[in-house]
Amino acid sequence: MTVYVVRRLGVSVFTLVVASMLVFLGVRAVPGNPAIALTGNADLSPGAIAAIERQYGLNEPLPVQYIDWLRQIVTGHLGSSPVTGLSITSELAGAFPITLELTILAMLIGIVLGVPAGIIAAVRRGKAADYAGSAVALFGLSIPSFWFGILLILIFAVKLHVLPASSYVSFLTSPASNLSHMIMPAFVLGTGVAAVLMRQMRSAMLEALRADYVRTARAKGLPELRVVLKHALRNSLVTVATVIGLQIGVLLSGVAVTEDVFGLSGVGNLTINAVFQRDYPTIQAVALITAAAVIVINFAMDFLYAYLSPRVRVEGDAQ
Amino acid sequence: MPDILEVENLQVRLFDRTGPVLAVRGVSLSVGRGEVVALVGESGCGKSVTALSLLRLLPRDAEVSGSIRVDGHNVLDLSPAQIRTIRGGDVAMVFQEPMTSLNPAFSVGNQIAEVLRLHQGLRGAEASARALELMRMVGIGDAEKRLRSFPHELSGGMRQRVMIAMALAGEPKLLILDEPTTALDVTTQAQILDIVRDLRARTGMAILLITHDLGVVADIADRVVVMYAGAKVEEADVYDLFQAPRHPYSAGLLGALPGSALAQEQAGRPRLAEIPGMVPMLRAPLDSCAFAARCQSATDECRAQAPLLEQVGPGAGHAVACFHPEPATTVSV
Amino acid sequence: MSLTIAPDPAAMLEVAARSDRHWWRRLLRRPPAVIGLVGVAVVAIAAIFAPLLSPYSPVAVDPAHFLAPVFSPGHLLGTDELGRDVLSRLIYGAQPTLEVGVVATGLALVVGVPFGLVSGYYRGAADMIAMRITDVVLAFPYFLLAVGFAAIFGPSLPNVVVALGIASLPGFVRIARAEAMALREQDYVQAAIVTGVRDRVILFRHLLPNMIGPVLVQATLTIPGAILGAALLSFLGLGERPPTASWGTMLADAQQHLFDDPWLAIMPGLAIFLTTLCFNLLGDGLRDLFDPAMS
Repeated sequence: MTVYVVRRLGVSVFTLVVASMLVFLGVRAVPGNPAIALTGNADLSPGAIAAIERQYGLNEPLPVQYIDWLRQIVTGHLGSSPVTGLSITSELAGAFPITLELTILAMLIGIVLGVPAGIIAAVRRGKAADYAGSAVALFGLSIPSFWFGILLILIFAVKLHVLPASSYVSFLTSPASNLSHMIMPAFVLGTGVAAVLMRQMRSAMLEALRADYVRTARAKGLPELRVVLKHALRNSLVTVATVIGLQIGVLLSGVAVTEDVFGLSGVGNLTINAVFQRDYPTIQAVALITAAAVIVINFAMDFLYAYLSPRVRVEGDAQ
Repeated sequence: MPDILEVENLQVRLFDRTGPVLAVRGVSLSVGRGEVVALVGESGCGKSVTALSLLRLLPRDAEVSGSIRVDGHNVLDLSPAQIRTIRGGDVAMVFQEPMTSLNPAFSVGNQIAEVLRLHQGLRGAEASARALELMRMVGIGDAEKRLRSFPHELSGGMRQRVMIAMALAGEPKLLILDEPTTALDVTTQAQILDIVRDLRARTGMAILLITHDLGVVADIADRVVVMYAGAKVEEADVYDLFQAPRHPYSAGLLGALPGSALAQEQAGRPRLAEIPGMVPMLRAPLDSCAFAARCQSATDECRAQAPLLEQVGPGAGHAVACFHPEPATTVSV
Repeated sequence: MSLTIAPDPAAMLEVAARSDRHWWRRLLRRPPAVIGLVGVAVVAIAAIFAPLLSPYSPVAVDPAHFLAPVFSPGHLLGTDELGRDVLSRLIYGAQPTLEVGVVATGLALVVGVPFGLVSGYYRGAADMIAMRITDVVLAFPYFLLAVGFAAIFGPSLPNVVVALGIASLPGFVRIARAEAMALREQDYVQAAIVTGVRDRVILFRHLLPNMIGPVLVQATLTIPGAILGAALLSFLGLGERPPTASWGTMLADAQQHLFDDPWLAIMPGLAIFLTTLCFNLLGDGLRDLFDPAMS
């Protein structure tokens, strides 16, 4: 397992380095003078531009600029937004907990709804439960999250007045109020996750249930529940863990739009505002942090995969 | 006391994508306590389906009729809970594919101990100790280390030993071996058969051996049942069958056995392997002998109606379903 | 003792060809797939014949009717806050929707399949490179790619297409790679390799045609994802600019009127939902044809 994990760690670090280069070069790709891009101010005097070029080291060769930029980020100096003048680090510190809470709640809802639904559908293949579960999953997969969010607001906030439509209250201030604000956005995202997980789980379970080792487990006299939940599920989880990585990008994109719909000032909203204000340093910081988060989550999935699959755990054989 | 296994008029209908398949057509067979019976035939003849139906391990949509009695209880009438006490308990089964029949996610010790917990009520250290004992019984060296091994770390022969140890864990009265050596190389085949023979001598359990390999049968079986296209075509004491097979199909199987006396005797005749065709897959009941199309001695009678199983000589309990059985002459060995 | 006679390969090929010729008919025997097919056809017709089908221009302003309710005389589905006919905008909105879905998917297919093919066939260094590239692509959610492009080039529909195309790449690379790896082990490919058939011929004559099924399924299931993504990005203002009619932007505009005219928000969302649903139904139907074990 160590061999495998170390190798995946190497791959993750490599991916992170390449991703950071792309993020760095992205801002340099903005048409026009990078000094203007970095400050968002198009009416700078030549003297002011020269001053900014000195400040950001824009006259240095690109590799040197990249290393400097990386060093600042690693030490937590993300700079300040040229638009708002606020420290990007503190802006992110305010937005990040909201996004994190939303993502975690959505994952929890997705797992709690999706995994059992997928198992049940596979076990009851071709029966009513399978058709119902698969149909709901297909709806969940097809429904635009932002529209679903708007529908929920229409029903629960506008018509029934049972839940608040928008804004955020910290969990530390008032857990109950926090959850009442988060339940709708988390549910919107969670159902999307559940739909994907349900379909993956179902097909992985169908494959596992056909396997010879499942027949062996039945021939041993094990109760069907144990055959399904021990012998088939364990091997299905290996398959599901490998495909989750492909879905993280979709989930995080959904988080951004859900924040927008529900007026949550998380990282997604911060990013959208930054785009329209041409706040390049903030976009750069968010892009790098998001890419890093995805890479870390994927590494965690590799770790889980290695843990679940003895072949990888024992021999470090990934293929 | 009844025989450990009594099967009467077993019929199995399976469904594939194009429709029903008559996989087993009225097979009766019995295995006495401590007896070794071989069920022989080519792939597709219904022998594995027969084996799976004994423990109700066929797909849910399979239609099974007739009666299957294990230790006097009709398997087809049992509740799911009752059948589970028989599976892995009174009757254990070893499958053909040792590479895929063990769960890749769990250690072999875990998979053996699972049976011990279920059928023997053993826990923790007791279960581990017994699992070790079983692994040594089936000739697994360095058992302490192997207990923690995962299936992918073991060779095919080792995995099949683990499967056998797992089957023994429930202390079965009947062990069903479904082509236990087919996927293994010749040397390993011989080792596995030695283990089976040894276990039979030590435990006195009955064995139903399912195979296409008559070479295996001669060594180990007391009695042989030959199946063709889902039906029993001949049943005899192993000695009688090898001396004087009465069904042309059995004779052909024996003739195809390299180095057998019969093969030499029949040197002038085409061997079965050279007869074109395969075991037919039957979708509807047959009103002729299923073997007629491949049979040298087939007549219009064979193509007009199906022969019934009848007692024939020379030995007792020798039955054959054929209008033109081979002569009962004894082949000099 | 070999009694089983090997099945005649020519006969097997014939059976495969025969079942292939009938795959359309088998697809049409599945009601969900038929519903999907009809739905997709309806959207396609709306997109192609929008000028003929819609009662008004999608950008024509009717100053007499702002926010006209559903079933108003002259405006079957009402008008928006600028007095534009909602039905006409919905019909025209099918154009960018299909365009983004199909073009982004096509982009990902055209780039991803050769990548996966080569990486799965040669393995080794080629595989390593392809995998590292997909790792990097996977690190950027499509939202982030679109944000980046919008920041650099300004918001536009082509940005959205490229962002979604890039984000859909890994799926195609994975499928083609897995298929190439499996096909490589087939006897006829091994035979071709051993007899010295050129790699190019093996890749394009033997491997590529045999992975059309799974690739087609992947494409049909990628299109709805791309449609949802495009709607999401348009909704956030990262896609087409006003006054172009798109379902995403219509929904974004409707948010202002959630209290007084909720239908304005319900209708474009429903259009997106039904379109993706139909593509998914069709994709599932195709997948079941090629891989019946999963149905």
